Amino acid sequence: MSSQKKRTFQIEAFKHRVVVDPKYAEKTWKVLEHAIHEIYNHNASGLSFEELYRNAYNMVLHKFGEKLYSGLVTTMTSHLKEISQSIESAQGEIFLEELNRKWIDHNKALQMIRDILMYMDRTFIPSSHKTPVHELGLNLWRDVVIHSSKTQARLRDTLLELVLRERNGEVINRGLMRNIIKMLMDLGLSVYQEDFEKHFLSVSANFYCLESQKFIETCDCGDYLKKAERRLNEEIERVSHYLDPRSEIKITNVVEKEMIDSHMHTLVHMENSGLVNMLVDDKYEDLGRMYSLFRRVPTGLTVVKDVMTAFVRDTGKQLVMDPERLRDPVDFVQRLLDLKDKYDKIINMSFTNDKTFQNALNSSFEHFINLNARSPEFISLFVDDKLRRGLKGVGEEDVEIVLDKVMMLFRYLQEKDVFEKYYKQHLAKRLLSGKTISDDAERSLIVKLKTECGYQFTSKLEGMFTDMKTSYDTMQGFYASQSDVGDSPSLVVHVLTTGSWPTQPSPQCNLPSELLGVCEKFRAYYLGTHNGRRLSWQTNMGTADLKATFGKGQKHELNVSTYQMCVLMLFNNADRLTCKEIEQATGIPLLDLKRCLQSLACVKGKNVLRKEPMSKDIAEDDTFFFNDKFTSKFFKVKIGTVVAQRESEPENLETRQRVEEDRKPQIEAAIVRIMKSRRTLDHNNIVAEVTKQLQSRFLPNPVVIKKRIESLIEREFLERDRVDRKLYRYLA
Amino acid sequence: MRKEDTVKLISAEGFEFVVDKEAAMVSQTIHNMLTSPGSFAERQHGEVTFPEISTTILEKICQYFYWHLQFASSIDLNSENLAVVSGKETEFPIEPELTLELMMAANYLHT
Amino acid sequence: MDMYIRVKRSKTTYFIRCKPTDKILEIKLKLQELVDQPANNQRLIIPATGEVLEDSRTLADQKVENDAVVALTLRKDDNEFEEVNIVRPNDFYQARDADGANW
Repeated sequence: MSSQKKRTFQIEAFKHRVVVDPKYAEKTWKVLEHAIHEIYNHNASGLSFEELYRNAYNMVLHKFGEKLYSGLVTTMTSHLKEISQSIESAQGEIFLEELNRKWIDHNKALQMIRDILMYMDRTFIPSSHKTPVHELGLNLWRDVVIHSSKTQARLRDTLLELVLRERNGEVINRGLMRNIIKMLMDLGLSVYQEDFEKHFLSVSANFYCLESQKFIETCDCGDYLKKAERRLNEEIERVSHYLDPRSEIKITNVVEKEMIDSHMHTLVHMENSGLVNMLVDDKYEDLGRMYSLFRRVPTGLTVVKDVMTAFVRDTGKQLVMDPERLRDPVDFVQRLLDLKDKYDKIINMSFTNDKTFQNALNSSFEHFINLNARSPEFISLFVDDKLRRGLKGVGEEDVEIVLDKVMMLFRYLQEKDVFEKYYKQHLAKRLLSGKTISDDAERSLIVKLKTECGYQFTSKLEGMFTDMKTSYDTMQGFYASQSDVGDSPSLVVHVLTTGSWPTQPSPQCNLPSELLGVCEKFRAYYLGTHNGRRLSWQTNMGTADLKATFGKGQKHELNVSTYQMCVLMLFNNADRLTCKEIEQATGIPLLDLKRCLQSLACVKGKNVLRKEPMSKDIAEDDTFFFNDKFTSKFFKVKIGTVVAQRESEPENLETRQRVEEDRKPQIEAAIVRIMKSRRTLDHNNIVAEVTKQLQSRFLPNPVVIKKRIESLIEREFLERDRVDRKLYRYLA
Repeated sequence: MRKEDTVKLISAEGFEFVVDKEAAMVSQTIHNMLTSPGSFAERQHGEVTFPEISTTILEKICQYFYWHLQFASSIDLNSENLAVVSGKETEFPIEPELTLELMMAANYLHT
Repeated sequence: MDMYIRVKRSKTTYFIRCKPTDKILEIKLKLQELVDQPANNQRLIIPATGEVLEDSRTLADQKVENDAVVALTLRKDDNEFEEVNIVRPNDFYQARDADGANW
C-alpha cells in the first residue's frame, strides 16, 4: 500500500468492535506510553508489536492522532532529559563513550517506536504537517542532549582536544571518534558544520600557522617540505578515518594555505637549501615534493617555474658567454647537451614531465643559445667531431641518440641558415677527405634536418652525396677505359656540381708536370662522356699521398694537401727555393702558400722542409731546403690536414658576410611572394609577414628588410602609395 | 521448509496460517514486526495474532501475498488499480461480499 | 515462484510453494518440519473427491493446480491415518454497515 499515491476516496477504517469509551484514548495512550518506557528500559521482549501497532492505529483512526503525537513528544523528551543528565554526569574519558552508548540506544528505541507508530507516520503526520517520528527523534536528541548547556561546548572541546592529541602523536580511539562524528552528521549537515567543523577548521588554521612558523625558522627547505607533506597526508587520513569526506578539501586548504602559500617565497629562496640548491644538486625527491605540494596552491608552480627558468637562463648565459668555452667548440656543445640532459631529467623525475616546465626549459635554451652568434658554427663542429671520430665503436642506437640531441639544439637556433652554411663546409671536408666514419649516420642526420626544415634545406647536401657516388662510378669508368696507365701517378677525381658545394672561386695553381698528363686524360674522358660541361680544378681542396726518400735512405709516405704536394714536387729539381720563387712556380695564393709552408717547415716531427731563418713566420725571401735529416717513427706522415677547426675572427666575419648576402634574395623572394598575394600592404605588416615566413631559417633584421623593399622599389617590383607613404603596392 | 523461514498468522477465531516470511512481508506492517530491532514478542515466537481480522479475510490476504509474489510485485491492492487488477489471467479474485473488509485489513497491514 | 497450494488440517493452513512437476513426496518433505511428522506419517487427500495423492506422482499428474486446497491427515498412535478434518470458519457475516459502502 504505497502511501505516496493520493487517493480520491476515504477508506473506512478497519472494523473495531470497541464501543467508544470516554476514557478510551487515555487508556490506549497509557498502553503505548508504557511500551515506550519499556523500550527505553530495554524491556521490549514481552511486548506484542501487533497490539501496540493496533492501538496506535486505532487512536489515529479515532482522531486521537494529536494526543498520540504530543504524548510521544512529551514521553521521548522526558527520556532524553534523563539520558542527557546521565551523559553530563559522566566524568572525563567516559563522557564520549557514554554519549555514544546512549546514542546507539536512542537510535534503536527510535526505530522501534517508529515501527509501532508507523500508521501515524503514514497518515496523521503528513496531513497535519508534523515532523515524522524518526526525524522528530533526531531533533529531540539534538535539542535536548547535544545542545544542552552542559554538553554542547564540552563535546566540541573534547573532540578538538582528541584531534590535537592525535596531531601530537598520541593514539586515540578513532572508532569512538568516528561514531560521534557520524552522529553529528546524522543530525544534519548543519549540526556537523556548526558544532564541529567550523571550530575544527579555525583551530587547525591556528595550529598550522604556529607550527609552520616554527618549522620555517628551524628547518631547511627539504625538511620543511617533508614535514608539510606529512601533515597534509595526516589530515587526509584523518578525514578518511572519522570525518565527513566533504571536510577533506576544507582542511587540506587550511594546511596548504598555512604551510605552503604563506611561506612559498621563503621556501623557494631559502639560503643554501632552496630551489636553486636543489636544482644544482639534482635533489629529485625534494624537487618532486616541492612540485606536488606547490601545485596545490594557486600560483605555486608559477613561482617554481619562474625561479627555475631564471636560473637556467643565467647558467646558460654564463656558459655560452664564457670566453674560456669558446676555445673548444665540441666541449661547448657537450656542456649544452649536459645541461639540457640535467634539466630534462629533473622535469621527468620530479615535475611529472609537466608541459609548462618543458616549454619553459625550451624557451630558456632558445634564449641563451642565440646569445652567442657562434652557436650554429659550434653545433656543426660538434657534429663534425662526432662523425669524424666520436662515433667509433658506438652502437647505431647511440648514434641516433647523439644526433637527436644535436637536432634538439638545432631547433633552438634562430639562424638555421648559418648552421646550414657551416654544416655544408664541414660536410664537404669530411666527404672530400674521406674522413666520415659512417655513411648511415651522415644520411640519418640529413633525414632529420629534412624533416625539421624541409626539402630545400637539404637538397644541396643530398647533392653532395650524389656527387660522391657519381664520382666513384666515373673513376671506375675512367680507369676501365685507359688501357695503358703506365707508372703515372694514380688520380682520384671528385666531380662536384657547382652550387651544391661550398666552393669558392680560387685561382688554379700550376700542377706538377708529372700530373698534367693524367689530368688531361681524365678531362678528355669526362668531357667525352658528358657533352657541354665545364671542368675546373679545385686545387685548394684536394689531397695527395707522396712517397719520399730521405737522407739515410729511409722511406716515408707523406699525406699532404694538393698545394703542399705542388710545393714538395719542386724540390725534386731544386735544392733551395725562396718563398717568392715557390709562389711564382706554383701560382698558389700567397696567404695559402705561407700557411702551407708553415706546416711543412715549422711543425715539429713533420718538418720535411727546413727554412732559413729558423723563425715561425714566413717572409717572402725566406729560403727553404729539403730536410735530409727528417725522421719519423711512423711510415705514414700526415701533414697539415684539412681538419675543420673553429674559424678565426676574420674568417668568421667573412662567413657572416656571405650569410648576409645569401639572405638578401631569400628576403626579397619572401617580400615578392607576400605582395603578390596581398597586392597592397603597409610596412610593418610586411616586416611581420616576412619574419614569420623566414623564422624557420633565420630571424631577418628589419633594417635589412627595409633595404630589400627599397631595392625592389628601384627595380619596379613594388611602388609606394602616393597618398600613404607607408603603404606599398605590388606591380605585376 | 524450515520453520524459521515461515511465520504463523493467527486469525481472530484462532485459525492458523503458516506462510513464508517472504510472502508475509508483502505487508509492510508484518515486515516491520519481523524486522524491528529489539525483540517484540512476534519476532521471538515467529507468530502474529490478529484479534481483529477474521479467518476468511486472513486467508484471502495470505492468498494475496502469494499472488503478489507470483504476478504483481508492484501492484497495490488498496488503490484504484484494484479494478485494473481484476483484468486478465493474472486477476486476483475477490468475492464482492469480501471487498470492504479486505480493503480495511489491507489498510491495516499496509499491503 | 510457479505456484502454491494450501495444505489444511483442522484449523491450520500451510501455504506451500511448489512446481507442477513436484512429486507428492517432495511436498511431504517440505511439510515435514512444519508439521513435525516424517513424510510417511503424512497423507495428502483432495477433499472434494477424497482421492489420496500418491507420493511418486506429480501435482500436475493429479490435477492439483495453483491455490488448490489439499487436506493433510497424520498417522495416529494406532498406526492408522486420521479422517480428513478441515474446520471451516464461521466468521463472515453478510450484513454490512450501510455507510461502509459509501465509496
